[in-house]
Amino acid sequence: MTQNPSERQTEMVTIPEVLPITIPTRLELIRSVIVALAEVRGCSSVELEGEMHKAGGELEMESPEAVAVLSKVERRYGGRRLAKVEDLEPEELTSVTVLAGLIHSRWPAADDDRSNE
Amino acid sequence: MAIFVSETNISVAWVTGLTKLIEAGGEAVNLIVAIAKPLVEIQEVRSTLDEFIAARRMGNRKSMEKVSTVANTLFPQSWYRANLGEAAADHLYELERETRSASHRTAKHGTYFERMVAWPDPEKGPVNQLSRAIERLSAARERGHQRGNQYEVGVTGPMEEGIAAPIVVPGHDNSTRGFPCLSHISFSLHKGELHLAALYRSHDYVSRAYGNYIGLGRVLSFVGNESGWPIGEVTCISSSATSEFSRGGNFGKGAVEDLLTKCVALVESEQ
Repeated sequence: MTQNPSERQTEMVTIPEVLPITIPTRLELIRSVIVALAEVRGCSSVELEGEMHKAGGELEMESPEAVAVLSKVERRYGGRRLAKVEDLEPEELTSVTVLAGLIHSRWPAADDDRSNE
Repeated sequence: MAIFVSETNISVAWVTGLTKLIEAGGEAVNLIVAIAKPLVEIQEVRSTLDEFIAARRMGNRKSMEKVSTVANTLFPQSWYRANLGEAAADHLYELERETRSASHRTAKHGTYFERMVAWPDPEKGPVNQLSRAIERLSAARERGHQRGNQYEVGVTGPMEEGIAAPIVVPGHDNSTRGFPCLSHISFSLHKGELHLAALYRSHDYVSRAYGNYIGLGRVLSFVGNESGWPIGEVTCISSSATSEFSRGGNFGKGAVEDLLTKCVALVESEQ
């Protein structure tokens, strides 16, 4: 028996605005930061990974690059605010692993921060 | 009484400006600094100033900004990617748009660069003044013009015909202190070179001027590169300038004089 359209509508699921996302691991965040930095620099993430490998596992960034990367990563994770105001100082935004570590350490607190807006 | 400084590079111009400012008692009106090569600096002078700044940031990060941070508020050089060729300018503008929300967390009024590429026209929406200047200057080059001060317009808002870029937003920027200290920049063509003039209503000379000169040089370089003009000089007019040790300033007079002595020695060793 064919279901009429109004009955089908009642079965639709409401999708939340922000999808629930499991807290990413530090390695996942490093990968996200590299992908975002590649977009900022207009190059491939493979190229950056190669540079990072050659430099012993670290890749420096200028602070405007880091803020742009942060913005891209925040969008990647559903618009969450992933850094506090005090994190956006040049001393805190020096490299790929430092930024990934900062985001990782701020994750739960950052969610609280956003809910207070 | 106006003070006029005309020097070859950013470092020498800044050191000479500070010297004359201190000779005038630490404050001046109409300090005019012209820099013939606005992409050139003596790295040791910047490092010495950054050390002075870092010592104060150790105690309070909000007390001063690094030279590079000040320069980046005018032009975030690392967003302008030469490897992208003709797409580099659009990439730069896109990064500014994407990053604006995060930038506003630390600079609630926005940045000077934002005012240049997204001046908030209440009726038309954001106006990209640099893009507009580049279009007009490119057209002038294609027509074979060698000078272009006929385009110069005194404005309080962006104009279709202008190659001047106001920073201030009338009715919005009502504070007598703080952002925006830079009121206006304009571009002029002369003898086949592109020049930039900037007007600051007030200038904290130790905290801001060096980074501002770097940033203005980058703005000029960007517009020149995108429009195909070789660049000339940057001239910065500080309607009011302070060496920040008088009238409850940020530093002791001795500290500023020590900084200047070190920087003068570095400049002399280069010459």
